[in-house]
Amino acid sequence: MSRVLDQADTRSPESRRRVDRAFVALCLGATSIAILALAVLLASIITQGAGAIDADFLTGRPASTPGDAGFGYPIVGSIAILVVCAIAGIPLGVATALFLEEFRPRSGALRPVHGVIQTNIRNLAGVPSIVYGVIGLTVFVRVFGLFGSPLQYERFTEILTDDGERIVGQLLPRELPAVDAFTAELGSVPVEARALPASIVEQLAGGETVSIDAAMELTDDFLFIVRAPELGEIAIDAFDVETDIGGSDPFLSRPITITLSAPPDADLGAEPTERLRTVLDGIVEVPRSRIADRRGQMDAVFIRRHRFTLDSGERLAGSIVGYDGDAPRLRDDRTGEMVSIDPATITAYHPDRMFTLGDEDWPVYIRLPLGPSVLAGGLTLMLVVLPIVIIASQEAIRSVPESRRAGAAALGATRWQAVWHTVLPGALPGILTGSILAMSRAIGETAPILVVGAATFVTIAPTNLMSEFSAMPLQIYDWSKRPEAVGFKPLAAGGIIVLLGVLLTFNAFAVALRQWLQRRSHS
Amino acid sequence: MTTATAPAITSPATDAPPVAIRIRDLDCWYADFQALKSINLDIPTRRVTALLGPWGCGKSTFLRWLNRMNDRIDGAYATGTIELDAENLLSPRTDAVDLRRRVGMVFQRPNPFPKSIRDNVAFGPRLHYRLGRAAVDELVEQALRAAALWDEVKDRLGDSATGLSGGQQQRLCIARAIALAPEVLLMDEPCSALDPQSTRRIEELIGQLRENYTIVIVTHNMQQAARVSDQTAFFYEGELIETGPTDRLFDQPTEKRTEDYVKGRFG
Amino acid sequence: MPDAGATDPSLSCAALLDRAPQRGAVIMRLRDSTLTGLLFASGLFTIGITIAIVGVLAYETLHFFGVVGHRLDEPATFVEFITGLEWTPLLGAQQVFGVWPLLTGTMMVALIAAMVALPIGLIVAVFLSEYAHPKVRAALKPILELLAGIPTVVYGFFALTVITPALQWISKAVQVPFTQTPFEQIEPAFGYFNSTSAGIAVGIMCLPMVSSLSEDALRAVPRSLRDGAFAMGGTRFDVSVRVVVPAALSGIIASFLLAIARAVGETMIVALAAGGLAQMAFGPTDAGEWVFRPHEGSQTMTAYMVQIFLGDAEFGSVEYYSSYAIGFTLFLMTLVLTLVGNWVLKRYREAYE
Repeated sequence: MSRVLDQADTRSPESRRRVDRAFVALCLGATSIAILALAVLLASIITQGAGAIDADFLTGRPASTPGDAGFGYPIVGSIAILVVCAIAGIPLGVATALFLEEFRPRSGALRPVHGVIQTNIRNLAGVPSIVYGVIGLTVFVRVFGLFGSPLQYERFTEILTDDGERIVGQLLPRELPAVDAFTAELGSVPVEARALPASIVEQLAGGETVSIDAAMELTDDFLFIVRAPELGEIAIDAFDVETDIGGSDPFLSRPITITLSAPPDADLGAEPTERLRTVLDGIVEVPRSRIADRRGQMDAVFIRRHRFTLDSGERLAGSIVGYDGDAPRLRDDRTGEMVSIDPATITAYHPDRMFTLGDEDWPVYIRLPLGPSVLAGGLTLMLVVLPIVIIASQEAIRSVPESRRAGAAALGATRWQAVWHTVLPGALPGILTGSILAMSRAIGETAPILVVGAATFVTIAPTNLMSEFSAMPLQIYDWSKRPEAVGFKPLAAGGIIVLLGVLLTFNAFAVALRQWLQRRSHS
Repeated sequence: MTTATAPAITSPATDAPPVAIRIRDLDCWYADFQALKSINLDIPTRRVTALLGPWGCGKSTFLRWLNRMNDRIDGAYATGTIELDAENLLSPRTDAVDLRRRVGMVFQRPNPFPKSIRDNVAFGPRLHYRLGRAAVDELVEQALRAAALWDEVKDRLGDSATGLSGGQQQRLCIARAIALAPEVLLMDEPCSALDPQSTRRIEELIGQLRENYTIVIVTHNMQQAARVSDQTAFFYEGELIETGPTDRLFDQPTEKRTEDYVKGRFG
Repeated sequence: MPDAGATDPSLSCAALLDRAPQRGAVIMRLRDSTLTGLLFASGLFTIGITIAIVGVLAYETLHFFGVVGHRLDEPATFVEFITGLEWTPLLGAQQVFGVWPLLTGTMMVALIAAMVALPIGLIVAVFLSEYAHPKVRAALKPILELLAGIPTVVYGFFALTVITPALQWISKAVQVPFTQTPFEQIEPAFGYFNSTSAGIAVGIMCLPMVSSLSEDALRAVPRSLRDGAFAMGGTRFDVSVRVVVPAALSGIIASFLLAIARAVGETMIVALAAGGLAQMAFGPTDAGEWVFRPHEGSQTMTAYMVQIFLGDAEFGSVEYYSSYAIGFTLFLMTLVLTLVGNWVLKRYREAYE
């Protein structure tokens, strides 16, 4: 041994200590990267957003201009869905954890079920949250289409103008009716545009070339559809321009100029201006400057399911999507095709299958399908955090010493009595802390509620379980994706400060609660 | 009293072996608790010294100062001198990493690394030397032969060491320690986790190793101390009560506490 | 009743209990089994969630391929879906459903995230477990937990407003020595939307997950192994890197897999920072040229789903159902990663228990 080692080159302790010290430096470097990332993140958000936060911001409603936009409704919406999420998720999670830890089936047949549930929960925790959103959309929002399909959303708005006029109707904030296509040049990408404001159509019809300073126009709820053959049909508005026309487009953070011109052979009709007016018939344009107040609500109008029996014996089921004269136009559930039904052939008609519970004036009002409502959003979030609640509760239950259960069992307690009187009180601090942390995860989730159809522009705070809602992270997302020039970025940062403040409060509360409960149980 | 520059190896009696480690006035604390009180002990070269005593008497703490493993315990510190090759091990200038190359250690429970048998044995040498493949092969074989494990594992050197039996694992750990050719081998109750059969083999192995190594073994098993050791030191409540040739210590203890212990009145 | 006991000391416990109304054994057993049944039902509910996920995604994916449901005008073909290098669902008549642009976009972001999160996360874990003083550790853990608790939309905003401009600035700065162009006019190599920025943000988000799971794995390595290595004269580096990390390797790999699954499924960061242009992020394009575009925007699977569910496709159209096919693909990818990760983790835990 010693002969072999004597012949070998030694690694000197000094050089090995140098390696050790270099590794310590590497460790410190890596750790400071993590700390630095957090510091830069917080600093950048505070510098960008601190100026945006004031009383108006915290209570205000969404608006299309940065100066007027507020964060109040998203805060209320987040609270509403969180309450639903907590009420549904915590009992379910604790019950599942109790089943897994305290009520393991002893019989052979159910034993494998226990293992499957346990493995399943671990895997559910790894499912991307957007997938839960898709499930929430299908199961909660649509209820599998059993009660009709949400083919149509209508937004009713009441507008009071400065001269006292009251207009009620559907607000078309960013869409103008389509007119025929024009060809335009957008950089080097040939595009077609439709749905242009009347003034531009008139100019184009007159053979003029029109330039739009888009960044200016786009802030004013202005939207038109651009059709670029390579890119598909895309809506250009304040935030989609860059998204869709190439990632490295030069006009990223400065005002864009889109030059439009009608080609010489464009068929605009004999009286384009006249046609435009016809299309616009029935639409009242109210300039923003004249709007004194605006209230409204978006209501998902579900086209309900109807069943018909025809004299030929044929049965049809589907949603009525319109009428051709007297003949209802049905969207057949099985084929998806539109069928016009001659009223004379109908021998039997089964009215809407519709389910409502409670009254719209009550907070607990339920209607099926749930639609993009507070209830659907809360339940979807519940799916996301349920595995977290279960795993945290399991750990809390497991930490209760076995001797307590044995003590209760020795006094002849049934399993349930042992759990209720000894295990649950001991596990409560852990369960509560875990649940609060799960809720703080829920409040930051964006993707699932985005998929179930939460709105980024609500004009009314939620009043019942079926209300439309917005949520803090979604509003932040909406503001973040708008281009720099439009000026929503500080609002997004302001929203983030509020959101992080809420999260920190949750966490501090969880820690304080755990300490208080532990102290109480020890004394 | 020797000085740091004086040669460490002196022998007062003609037949006594030279001293390998000389411990003088060793005191040790864990924060406020004094675990060892003024220990003076000479550990002879190429002999087996057994450290005997009841649980908590400080014998393991003492052992772990001999290769400065106590450095890893927050709040542990020691004063006095432990001299090996005329160098005070407790001096801050002594490099613990280099010291442990010269003073190997085997633990209570076998702790093979979750690596192959070959990599386990080669681990120490590879830390301190740049070794070619042939040198590693030779080292592994020699160390395993010295630990009486070669014949059992020579066909499966690439297998994981955790697949060996407890006794084999412990012999592997001994092989791992002696692959570095240490001057001193420390053993902290190396048989306490083993069955009698494996214990017997380890004890036989210690008998063979004493020809080449200075061995310090901690045990609370008096029969074991009697079987394997040449010299025994009896520790009690942090003090070294008595030390002497094993036969003499067991037959004619001079101290009452030693007598009570070896007669089985406590411990 | 207690009064009776208090006034008459001779009254024994047995006599006291004799007078008390006894709880019916039948009722107690009935209550127990009812409640047990309810708890069992809650457990089954979680299985129901999985069935709903698989069922809904599979059904609508088959719908997308024209196998079930109402007739789509032009359902996609399976071969086109799994082999196609073009993804243009919104191009009307020219729509092509080849999943690879979205797959490569996802992989590119996950790869960049892994390059950030895995090494840094592992080193931080080694530091916390093997090097850091308990006080340092106690200070660092909450910071990492804070990093883990930040909503992903915040990371998206951070990527867009800090990481991307920083990347652009750096890519301009490195060009300065080679060009006469004034700094302001240098074209940055990174686009406003790019995979690198999104990947770095996703990496920072996954970092605490890697470090905390890896640290758990490292701390589970028995102390006796460390002692053994130290006793042979190992430095802390030798002990950590040559013994503890290899011993904890399966736990570390599990943490890597779970973090990559998280990166693959991450939505809001990529929707904000990586853009919405479905193009091959790497590999061959439909035109036959080989590309590698970490500096350009790319659409990930999740970002495409966001685009569709935000209302870019009409309900009931092929492109609408394509999002379910993408969702199913995403689910299967993350499921495999999570299953393998949890399996490795379980095996690892058993090894040291």
